[in-house]
Amino acid sequence: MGCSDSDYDYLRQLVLSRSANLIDPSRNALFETKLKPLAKMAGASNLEEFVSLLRIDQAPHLHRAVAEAMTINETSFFRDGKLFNVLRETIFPRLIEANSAARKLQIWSAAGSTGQEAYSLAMLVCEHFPALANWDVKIVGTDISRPVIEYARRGRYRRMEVNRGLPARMLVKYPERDGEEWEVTPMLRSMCDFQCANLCAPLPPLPVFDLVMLRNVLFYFTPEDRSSVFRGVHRQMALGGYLVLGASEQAEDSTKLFQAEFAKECYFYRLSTEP
Amino acid sequence: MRALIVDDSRFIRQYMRQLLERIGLSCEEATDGRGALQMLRGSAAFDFMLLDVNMPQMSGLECVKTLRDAGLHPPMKVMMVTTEADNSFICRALEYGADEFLMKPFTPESLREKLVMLGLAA
Repeated sequence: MGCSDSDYDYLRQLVLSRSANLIDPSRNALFETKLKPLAKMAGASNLEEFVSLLRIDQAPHLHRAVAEAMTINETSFFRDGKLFNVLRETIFPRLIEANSAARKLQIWSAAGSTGQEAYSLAMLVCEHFPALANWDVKIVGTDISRPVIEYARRGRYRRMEVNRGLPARMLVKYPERDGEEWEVTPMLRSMCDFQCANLCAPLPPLPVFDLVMLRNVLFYFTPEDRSSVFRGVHRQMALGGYLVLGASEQAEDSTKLFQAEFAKECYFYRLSTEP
Repeated sequence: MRALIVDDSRFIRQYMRQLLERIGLSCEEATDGRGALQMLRGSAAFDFMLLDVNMPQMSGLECVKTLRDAGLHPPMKVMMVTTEADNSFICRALEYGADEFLMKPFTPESLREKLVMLGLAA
């Protein structure tokens, strides 16, 4: 495959306008690997032909599929263990105390990819906070990509996936092995909902969240889009709610909205103004 | 950090050594459970043991059970590596004293993540 610089620029612009995902020219090779199956499905024999097709045919579904295919779906169970320790030791105990009257916890795994983060949160709740069994605990996983959301809904993971981040003691307890796949238990499934959402477009109807996980996605956005995402997330959060970013990310340009806290070598944020 | 790689396949030992050394662990090798126990009963002290399951002389399961029963190097973390993935098998390995479990085939990244989980890598 391969194509001209102008074709790459066209693809870059298309992805940026559809999903705010900024693909650096140094990563042009990603277009080839990620778009190959789509190009084949569309009947193009190489990337150049596929770009020509995209330029001529303004079919929204095809353009959307390109943006979706370019998202990075790097994820694993309990990704960044230190952060899960902070959730277990600091954030969840505070949320439980604050919400004890309503007995309700709403959690958002934003840009949560194939569901490992949402199911990890569900496992964390079941494993360490048995008292929440009688609460209304809901974890909403969203991602821009439809196939990725379908994958999360299936809740079935391959050997390579359960090998990543899932402690052996959890592996034997929570997902059930079915041949060469592991399926999350009905209990975990009942706690999680998945739906498509583009963080850089008007969000679908979502509940007000006590905790938002927004990890390892912001560095794909321009500074303007990052600010817009922070404002959107802020509007979805309950007063006193918590925001958790990726280990190398900061809410640097949104300090008026969130107040930073530091515990166990991790930063996390608390809503500092009313949504 | 010192690691002991226990596997009857020279190829696997070399591969594991490469991965672990890249993470910053210094490695020694044994070809089966019996050889590993001999090293552990000697003066050698390790922080981590990467243990295959199916080996001649002494299996990984027997090895981990023996070393835990004997109280050899209690702080040493033991991770079993095998194609075996039955829950009953994993439970038995944990009960005998294994700390973690990695299923073959695995990626270098999943090995690194398990080491982070065990507090052996950053």
